[in-house]
Amino acid sequence: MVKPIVQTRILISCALLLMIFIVIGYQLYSLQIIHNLSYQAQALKNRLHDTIIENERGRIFDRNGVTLASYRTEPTLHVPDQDSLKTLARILQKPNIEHTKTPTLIKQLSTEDIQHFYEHSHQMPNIKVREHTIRYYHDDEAFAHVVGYIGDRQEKNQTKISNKYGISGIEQYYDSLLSAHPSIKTYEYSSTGQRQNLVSESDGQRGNNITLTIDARLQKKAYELLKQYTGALVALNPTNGEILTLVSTPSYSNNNLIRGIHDSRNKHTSQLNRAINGQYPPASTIKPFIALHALSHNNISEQYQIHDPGYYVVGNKVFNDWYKKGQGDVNLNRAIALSSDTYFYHIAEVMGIDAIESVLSAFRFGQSPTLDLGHPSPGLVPSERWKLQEKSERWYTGDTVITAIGQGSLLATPLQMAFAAGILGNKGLTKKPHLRLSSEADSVTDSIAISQYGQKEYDIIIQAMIGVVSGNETLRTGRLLNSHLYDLAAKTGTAQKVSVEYASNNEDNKIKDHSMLIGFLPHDQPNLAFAIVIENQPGTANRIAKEWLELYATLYNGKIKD
Amino acid sequence: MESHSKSQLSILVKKLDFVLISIVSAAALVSLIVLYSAANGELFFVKRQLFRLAIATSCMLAITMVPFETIRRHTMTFNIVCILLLIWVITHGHIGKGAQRWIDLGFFRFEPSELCKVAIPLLTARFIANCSTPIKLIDSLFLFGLISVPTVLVLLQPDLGTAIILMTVGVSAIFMAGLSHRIILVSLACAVALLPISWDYLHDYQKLRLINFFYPDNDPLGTGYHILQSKIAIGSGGIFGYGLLSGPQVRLKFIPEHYTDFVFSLIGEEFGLLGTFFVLILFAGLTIRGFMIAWQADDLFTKISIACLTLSITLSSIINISMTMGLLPVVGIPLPLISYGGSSLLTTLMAIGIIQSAKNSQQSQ
Repeated sequence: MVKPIVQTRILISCALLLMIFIVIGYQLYSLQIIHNLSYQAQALKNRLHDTIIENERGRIFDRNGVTLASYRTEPTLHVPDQDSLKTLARILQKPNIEHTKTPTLIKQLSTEDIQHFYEHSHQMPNIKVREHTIRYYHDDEAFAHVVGYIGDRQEKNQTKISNKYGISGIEQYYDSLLSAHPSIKTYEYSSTGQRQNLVSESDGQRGNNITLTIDARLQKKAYELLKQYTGALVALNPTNGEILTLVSTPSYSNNNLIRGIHDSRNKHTSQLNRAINGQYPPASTIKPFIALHALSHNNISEQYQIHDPGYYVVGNKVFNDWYKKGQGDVNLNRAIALSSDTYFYHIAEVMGIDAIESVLSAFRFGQSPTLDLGHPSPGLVPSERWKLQEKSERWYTGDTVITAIGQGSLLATPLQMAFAAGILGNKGLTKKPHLRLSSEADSVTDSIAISQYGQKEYDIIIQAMIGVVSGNETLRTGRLLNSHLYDLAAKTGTAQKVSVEYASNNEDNKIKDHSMLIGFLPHDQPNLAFAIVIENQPGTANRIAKEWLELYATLYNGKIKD
Repeated sequence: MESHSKSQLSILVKKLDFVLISIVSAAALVSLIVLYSAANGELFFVKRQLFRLAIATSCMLAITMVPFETIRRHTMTFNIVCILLLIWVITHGHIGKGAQRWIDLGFFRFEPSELCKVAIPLLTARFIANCSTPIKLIDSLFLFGLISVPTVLVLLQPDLGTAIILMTVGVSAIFMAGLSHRIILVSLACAVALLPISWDYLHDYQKLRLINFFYPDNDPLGTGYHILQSKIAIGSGGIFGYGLLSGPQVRLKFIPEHYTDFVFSLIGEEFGLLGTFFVLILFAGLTIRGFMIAWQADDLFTKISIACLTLSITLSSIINISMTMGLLPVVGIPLPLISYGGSSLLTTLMAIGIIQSAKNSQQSQ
């Protein structure tokens, strides 16, 4: 007879097994129902892989169709194994590449690198040369600050957008327009990595091309003239706001930059776009605007005359004229042509700082210009309120008189100076400055009108500025600019200020004056307004301007194409 | 003459257990469908498995007809043959998957370790039936030593999965024989204490499998990769599965051994929860039916032998299914009745045959 304990134990055994089945059943429920979606996603990730084909980013052209940014193919080296990489690192003398994981593509090779490779290629038979398409900037240094450059996106998981994006310049501002949408092909792969079949395919899109208002010939000429100095040249057409030239020096090679080759020159100073971000005391170039206001508000008349002993006294403080001997009797025309400080000290005291602030603000000083490039700086127009807020100091008449000669706290960028010159030359009317040609841009050409000054006062000031270049004063400050090729109205300036290049090693440069020039031509119906700033090189702006303006006049024959 | 053969057939049909035969037939059908799918819609595996099924079924029917007393009497002979075969396979066997497991019989390769799954239950039952119940400690230890001989031989091949099943069957038999629960608790404590020592006796690949079992995220492309892929296949199947011949994990070869050890992953992927629960219910039903027959049997030998035979089939299915779901480490145990292969099919059906024979011996008394 079988003992009851055996029966019990048989039942227990069976119950234990059934419990295990229940656990398995629950686990199946968990896998197949609760976590079903997660496992389906994992299954997809297992077998589906995207092949991303980058489409070409939009090209950038100048106003005449000259290519500024495009693509070109360069050789790269495909290195399959660590041994070849070691040899390559030794031969190219690039020890830093030795630690990359193979297989790898070695990009950013100079012509010499490729030459070295070919000379020693028998030592590295496994390395193959492959073509690699890379963004290419024509005349890179001349256009670097306008065109900018691109870089690789760090986050790799976004397959819908291009891996390249604009980091600065037009490349950055119009990135969404220039960016291509990559084509994506999704293939099914087996566990051994063999491609099975195409599951889905999305056609990408090439980036849009962009045509700029820049004239490549003028830009290159300006860069040629400026490259040995530190400075900027901005030129625009005041009738439509198109920027023809925007140069900042020192420049940099954006071709080298996107290849990871860094300039030996200071990166900070070369990448600073002085044309829109360099804030300088505008110096005597500000005088025509002050005079315009004084004329309009009857503070002076055209014939109004003062005596200039070479200095001016405010209270118990003496303000010197740059021309220590004094110019004698000075009226408006002489004051502009000879750039008399004393005359402007005098009228500034009569006008007061509020009037000066009013005219400078009207001509858009002290406010960030709208521009389809970077972040233009606002400059600074000081006022009583500003001084109290920023420096907790009272405003003195002395502050007023030095503001009137463009010194003191007053700051302006070359773009602002060129823009203001344009408004003046066009007698109060202009359009917003822009870099993308308006025939393809939608609404960048907003008009700007300054109505508080009369045509007669404009004419008087313009006449005075013509006198700077081609008047009958022998000592007129713009006499070197005179040319039979154009009818120029201009105003020179000399800023007593250290360079914005604080990091400069050259101590002498810091104390030398900046040379500046604004102007427009033809003076009766201007189609060009410009500003030039050359740091620490007094008098240089005039010489550069003449050569550059003569090219402009030759190219456009005094008439700009629309 | 015709009436004679007819009566012979009706006797045979009467001797079959309806529940067990239904389960076996259903499992065989599942097996053929799954193997058809595993071969990408070709009949290669199906044809070969049909042939094996025919041999194994004949074996089962023959054993069913053998009086249980005869089987009982030949228990020792059977076990000695088994041990000799195990020794033979270790010295002369064919190597597969890093282990010497097979005897090549020409028309199919045979694994003697599978045969032990039938022999050991009979041996333990025979031993326990000769002891007094509840079983004493000294008898238990002796039985344990007895089972260790074939277990160690299997372990030497090495076939960890089968060795675990054999040992579990033996220990369960001692449990069912009524060993005092105090001794059971003490033994369990000792076994846990000995676990770390047994680590040293494992093969490197077995250690790797254990490491991967406990740390599956350690190396998704290494050895733990298979467990993960199997879970993905089962999990992505959902309720209804991808359908016959459409499971991407299987089609694109992310599942290794998808027609043998990992056949359950294919069922999960292509037939979903419906398929996996169906298979689960088949084995649960087999377990219940087996233990029911054991419970109803009159004598100790029949009880223990049937319970242990059932247990050995159930354990194989549990270990195999758990392994495909990542619940247990990967040990090469096929899914009984469903995985492609002859040895497991033959011994499973032999066990079913013995259970039926035992059941019949009860009815005839």
